[in-house]
Formats: sequence, structure tokens, C-alpha cells
Amino acid sequence: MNLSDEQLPPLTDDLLKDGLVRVPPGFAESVVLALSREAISAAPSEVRPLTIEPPSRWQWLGIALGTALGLGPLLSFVFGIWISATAY
Amino acid sequence: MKPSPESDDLPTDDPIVFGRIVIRYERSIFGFLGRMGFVQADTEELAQEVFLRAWRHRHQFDPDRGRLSTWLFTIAKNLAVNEIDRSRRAPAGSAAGVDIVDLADPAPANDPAVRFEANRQITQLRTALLAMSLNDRTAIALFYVHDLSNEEAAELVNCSIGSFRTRLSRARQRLALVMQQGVIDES
Repeated sequence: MNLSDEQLPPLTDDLLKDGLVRVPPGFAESVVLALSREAISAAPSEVRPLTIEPPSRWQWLGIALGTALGLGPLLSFVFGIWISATAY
Repeated sequence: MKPSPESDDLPTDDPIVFGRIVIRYERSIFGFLGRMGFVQADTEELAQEVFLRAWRHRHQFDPDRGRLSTWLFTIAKNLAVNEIDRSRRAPAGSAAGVDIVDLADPAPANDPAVRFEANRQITQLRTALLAMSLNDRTAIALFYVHDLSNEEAAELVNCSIGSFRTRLSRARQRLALVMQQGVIDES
């Protein structure tokens, strides 16, 4: 683009090219740090939500077997007390 | 001619990789904001916001519609214009663009006299830029961005390339006049 008809003073032109301000040292690092913070806060949480699922078929079978095995000694104990109490 | 997309510069989800984009464009963005009349502190704040917004909206960038540089400068221009509008409505004394007594030092020199003269020139130029209309200032600010063609700059200010050149020519004439005589010609 020909700008010869509206030439600015060389110093003005140089200042405009430089932009009148400086990039401070470490600017990119500070931006990346801010981006990282934002990325971390936006990331989905790794903690799995606590959900209670109904027992599966094998779990039901285990519960039934455990119950049956546990009831045996309990009934024996109750029966023993009853026998003892009614012996005389 | 449609500009070719810069596939290696596509915004990424990795902040570290995105940092390369920051490093590549930080000087251009600072220069643009400085020419828009912002002082050093405001420029730093706005430039950070430009990159943060680019990051937040990275998935909206479409390389088929234009280059990454054009997209970044669209964000920068919109932020700058919004900030200037906001500061105009703000109470006197708190306007961002009015604080012209900022000793930005683009070329640190050991000689205090040289630094003083450089700061005086910067202050004078910033005063002259702030005295111009927003359209003229934006045209000048975009013209010096190396990452933008004149066609892209014209697209950013929503005018034809011919209108942009006319606006730029007129703005440079006014700026030259102001710098030489300290006169604003609004005709």
C-alpha cells in the first residue's frame, strides 16, 4: 500500500510500529497459568458419585446361603435353651 | 483471495500448547492495543482477556472462515472498542483511555535524557491518537499489525478495502498534522 502521500515523521512511524507498550516478561507464562487454572476448574470431577445398585443374582444367592448357615446355630441355641427350661 | 488456514495454530485444549499461540501473537496484540490508546497496565489486562476469551471460545474458531490471526484480532478489536465505550461512560478520572501519563518504555535506555525524550514522544503520540475518532484510530492500529493483510483489516472494521484505504490515508494525514502542529482537524 502506497502511503507516500501521507508520510508520518519517521519517529512517529517507528513508535506506531513498536506499539507504544511492551510485552512484560513472563506474560505468556501468566496467561498459560490462568488457562491451566480455568481448565482444572472446568474439568469434570474424578470422584465417582455414590450410587446404590440392587444386588445381582449371585449376590442374592450368597445372602440366602449365609442366612441359612447363620440360622442353623441360632435355632440350635434357642432349641437348647428350650430343652433345658422344660427338662423338669 | 481466501487466506489459507494455519493448521499448526489451531486452538488446542492443552493450555501449554495454547501458550505457543500466546507467544506468537502477544507482541502484535500488545501493539494493537497500545495504538488504540491504552496505557501499559490496561493493555496487559486486556491482552490477557483476549487470550482467555480465545481459549474459552476455541471450539468456535473455524479455519475455513479465516485465519487464526484474524479471529484473534476480532476478539481484540471488540474488547478494545467495548472498553473504550465503557470508559467513556465511566466517571471522569477513571477512564482507561484518558490516563495518558504512562511511561511505557519500549526501548530501555541507560541515559535518562533519552528515556525522558522517548516517554515524551510516546505521551504526545498517545495524546494525538486519543484525540482521533475511534474509526480512524482503529484503522491506524490495525494497519501496523504485521499478521493482518489490508483486506483482513478492512474486514475487521466492516468496510471495503477501498474505504479502509481512504480512512487510513485520512487518519494518517490527521495524525501527521497533530504531531507536527498539535492541531486536530475534524473536517
